[in-house]
Amino acid sequence: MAQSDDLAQIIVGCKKGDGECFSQVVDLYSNRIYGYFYRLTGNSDISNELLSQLFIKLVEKVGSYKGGSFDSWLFKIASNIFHDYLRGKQRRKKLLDVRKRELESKVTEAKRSDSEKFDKLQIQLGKLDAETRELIMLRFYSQLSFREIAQIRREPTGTTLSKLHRGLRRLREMME
Amino acid sequence: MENNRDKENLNELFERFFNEKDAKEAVEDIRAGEKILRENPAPEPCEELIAGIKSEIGSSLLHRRARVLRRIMYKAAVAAALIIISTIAISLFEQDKGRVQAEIIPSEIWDSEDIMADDLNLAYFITEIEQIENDILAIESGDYGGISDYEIDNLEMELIAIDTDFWKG
Repeated sequence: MAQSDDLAQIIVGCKKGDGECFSQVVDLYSNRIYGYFYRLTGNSDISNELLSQLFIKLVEKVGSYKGGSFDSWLFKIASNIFHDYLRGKQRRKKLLDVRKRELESKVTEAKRSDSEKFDKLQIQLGKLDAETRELIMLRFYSQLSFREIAQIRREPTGTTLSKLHRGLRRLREMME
Repeated sequence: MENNRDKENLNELFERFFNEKDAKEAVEDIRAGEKILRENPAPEPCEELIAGIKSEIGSSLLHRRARVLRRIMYKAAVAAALIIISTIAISLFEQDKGRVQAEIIPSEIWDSEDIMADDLNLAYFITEIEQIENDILAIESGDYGGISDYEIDNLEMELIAIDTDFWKG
């Protein structure tokens, strides 16, 4: 992984609109951010779409990055993209009537069982509430400190610690 | 790259919020949970996706450059228009300023007592007034011999004419 000085140079290049520097950022972060999206959505197509959105947003917004932890800044954008996706999903859901929703879920389940085999972890993560799941994934994939995560979530560090502790303990119990 | 998470001392952090025993348990829970996540890695994005993203970034950068170029051209056009308008306005102002300056009496003339040297017309005018004043004084004192009513009327008419010219400037 790049040293922080190298990363700073890459970001300077991105700000100047250097395509090669953006490619390096994609190489550095795509695995972690894809993992974050995949573990939250459980769907590779949606994760592909969200990952593309993130890097296009990076091109648009890199000028507004004013220093500090780049990982924290980037994962904040990733988190916003995921929340936008959730809001869109909820809006779409409201448009469908109950019968249609039932049919759709049956079709989706059938498609999913054919194309994607979920690992045990993904199944257990699905049993956690959305907020806890997101917190665990943010901590694991962003590699940020608790203080940085608390800042992103705009909550006290103690609250973040406590929620993550409870979530990971529950996950461990379910996985055993 | 060492990240902020690696620098973080979990025991110390938890001990700020829990007692020593609970903090130790919490740290163990977190390490065990994170071990599970490490042992069950998420799939990685496929190479086609990464290539597609890079190509999308390339075209997005091209659009951005075109947008920046358009903005620069627009700003240049606005700046050129402003320069032209300013040049016209300044030249009009300079003409106007020249006329105003001509009407103002220079301070050296204003402060000077040597009227003859400063303004010959004004000197003639003052001499005429003095001459008329002397004539009036002579008439009033009776020193002025052989004067007719006609000559007095002429003198008054001349005074009125001078007075009118004076106020006309």
